[in-house]
Amino acid sequence: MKFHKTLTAIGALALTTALGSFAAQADYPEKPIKIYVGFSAGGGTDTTARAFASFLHESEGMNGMPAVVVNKPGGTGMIAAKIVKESRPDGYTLYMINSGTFSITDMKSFGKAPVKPLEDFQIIGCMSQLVTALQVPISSPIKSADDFAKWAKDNNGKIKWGNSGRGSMHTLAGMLFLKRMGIQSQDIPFKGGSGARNALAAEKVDFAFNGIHMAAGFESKIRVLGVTSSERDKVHPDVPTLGEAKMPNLGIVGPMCLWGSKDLPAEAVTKLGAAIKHVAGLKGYARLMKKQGLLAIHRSAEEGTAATKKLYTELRPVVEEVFAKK
Amino acid sequence: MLDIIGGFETLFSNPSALGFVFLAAFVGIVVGALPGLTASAAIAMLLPLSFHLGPLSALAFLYVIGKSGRYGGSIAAILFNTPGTAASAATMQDGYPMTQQGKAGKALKTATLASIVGDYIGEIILIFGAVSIAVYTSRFGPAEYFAIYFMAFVVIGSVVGKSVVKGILSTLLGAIVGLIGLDTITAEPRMTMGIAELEDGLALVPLLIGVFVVSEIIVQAERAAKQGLEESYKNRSDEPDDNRMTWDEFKRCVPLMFRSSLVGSFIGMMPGLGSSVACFVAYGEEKRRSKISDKWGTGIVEGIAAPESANNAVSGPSMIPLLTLGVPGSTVAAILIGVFLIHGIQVGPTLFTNPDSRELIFALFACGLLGIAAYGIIGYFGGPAIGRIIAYMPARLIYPFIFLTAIAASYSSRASVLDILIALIFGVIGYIMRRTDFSTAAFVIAFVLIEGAEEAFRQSLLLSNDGLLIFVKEPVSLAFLLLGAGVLVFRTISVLRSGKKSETTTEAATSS
Repeated sequence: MKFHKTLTAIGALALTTALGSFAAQADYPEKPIKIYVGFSAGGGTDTTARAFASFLHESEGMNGMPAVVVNKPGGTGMIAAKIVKESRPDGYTLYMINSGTFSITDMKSFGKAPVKPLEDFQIIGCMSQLVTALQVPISSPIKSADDFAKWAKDNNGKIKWGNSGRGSMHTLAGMLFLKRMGIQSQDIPFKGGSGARNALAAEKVDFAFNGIHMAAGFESKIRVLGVTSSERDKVHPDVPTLGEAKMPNLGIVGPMCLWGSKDLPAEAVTKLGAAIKHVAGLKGYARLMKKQGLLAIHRSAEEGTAATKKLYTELRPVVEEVFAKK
Repeated sequence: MLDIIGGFETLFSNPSALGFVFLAAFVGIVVGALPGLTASAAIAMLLPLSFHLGPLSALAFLYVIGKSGRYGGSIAAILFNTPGTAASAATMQDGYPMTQQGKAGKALKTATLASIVGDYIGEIILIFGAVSIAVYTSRFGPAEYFAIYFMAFVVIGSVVGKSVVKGILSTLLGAIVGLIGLDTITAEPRMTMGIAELEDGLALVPLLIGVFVVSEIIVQAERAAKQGLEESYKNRSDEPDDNRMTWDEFKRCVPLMFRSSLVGSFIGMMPGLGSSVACFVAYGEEKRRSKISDKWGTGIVEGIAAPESANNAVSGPSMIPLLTLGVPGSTVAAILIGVFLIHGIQVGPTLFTNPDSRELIFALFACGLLGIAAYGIIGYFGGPAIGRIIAYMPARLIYPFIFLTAIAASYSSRASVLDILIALIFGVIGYIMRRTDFSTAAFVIAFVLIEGAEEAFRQSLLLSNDGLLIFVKEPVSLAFLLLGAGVLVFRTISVLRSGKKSETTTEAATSS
């Protein structure tokens, strides 16, 4: 009798465990998802993550499970990335960052960064992107991208331009652009995009390479001449690409992506990928993003990975020049 | 003027926003007073909540928490010798000695009055000056900022302590520690010992807690080991005059509160300098001016009134660079930028020209004015009640509690274990500095200022075609540099003169 009871208990236990693990696989997600952000609350990555997270549970495959944004600032996002890398690859601990920042932080560490973006992680999908723009003060005699090419040749060697820090994608894209144009210049790094914008609006520098969203609200002080991407930015359709103006077409953008461990269960990747596509297409999400001057755009895992690989191949020579190998 | 009346109209026709102003006043005092929570941590935590509120309610809530939190920090500083927020680090210098003398009630009321005065002056400057000030400061570049930093460094001279050499060494040490992290120009790690977390530099809160709080606990523990902890909290005075600010003291403090508020307001307008700098600059400057400067630090009301006026005066004007340049002047402001963006308000020059955002901004200013009154009333009548409870707690319970909250506060700002370690290490460093008469205040201020000063200096040189001459060519920068140099010369002469007069006054003068 006793033996029988024990057996039933074991059987029941085994069954529930089996059911449990089966259920866990079939019913992903069964608990809230954590999205780590490597920057403080209120920044660009954080606001995108929060806008995204607030719509994620509405997506069909998500079982109504909410996503929670966890801020863990430090090491240009690498502290949070390391936490995600070291946690269980079960699809409940994910990471959000734009590929530009992630790949450059990896490249400039020359192998010392704790996480290798495309080796340790995979892109699940992307829901926004950072676009680099060439900007001048409104009082500048440079009115267009064509003017810029002429002016830069005439003043070669005497040019001073501002940027948001040497480790930023916008800066390195700018350096690559000037290099292709054969322009010698002095860059002046400021702390963050707003610092660079401030110096540009105060006419302390001739021009700046900065995120195009930084110009929103500053239309009376700043003129945007062109973007480094191959396509025009949908939030700013009037701004041409620099390629259109017969200047080097870099085709550089920084997709903002949701990343996870490379060992994530296939089901989680599929469901999350579909959820990203769903959220990126929502009007409410697009509205929240547009208010910040950011673009709601969907890029699949493959497209995001391709854009990230392009960042690596295009920017690596510039990174190696700026951050000389030691 | 009409705009602000319109702002009140908008506010009073919005009961939800009105409710959030009062809620924020209360929440801010509580989180500020709890040493484990800072106002900026609370705002970051409450940020998601604001997604679901209307723009005015959300902004009012967080803006007023920023104000009442700065005030609430003084409660922790006075009662526990722990800065509840970085802004109240200077308040401890006189606030805590007053608690030890049983005058916690007086100290708390002084802090409340000073905070209200400072906050109102700052808010009025914001309301009436924001646009014109912004037009002027938007022309500032690295050279101008460097000159302003230089001025601020000169003011440190007034808090260096008794020995000039030790003061300079303390400043240098603070500067070296402040340079840990990514080089602002080359973006390469400096003195990080390969620790990725150090790339962002040492965080201010754990450092402050280490230098001021942990070191104090070591001092107290050492005293306890020698003679048993004196139960200082027990001797709470029942004299009514020890629990309120007398009319005489109030009269003495009025001009000082006005001066400190102006200092705080000016510092608030400069992006990158914040409440933590304002409180020390005001404290140092008033100590220098005072006829009884040797009494500062022993528990006098002036030593509370000056930093508390200054740190709350920062609140309003720090919105000027935020609203008009999109450059946050403080941690709270940095988080507020996110809130503005979430609610579709584009900060920048167009903010005051777009009628919709203009109306919202003035309604927010109205919330600020109302919020100051709200936290003032709650604080004036409620603060001493908290003080009374603390007064009956024996020291053997208080210090372990302070130690625990200090650890929690270090951890909570970035959820970082490394920050706890930093607090402990700087606790030992702070203890050694205090034992050997090095200036902990100069150390902390240098730490805060060095990053911006270095950045502005190197950017200026990159911008300049003729080296250092850029600082002389820009008129604003030249003016500040001359002013700073003038103060320096004037002070040296007065120190030398008083040195000739007599031995006894030398000490008082050099300590100022």
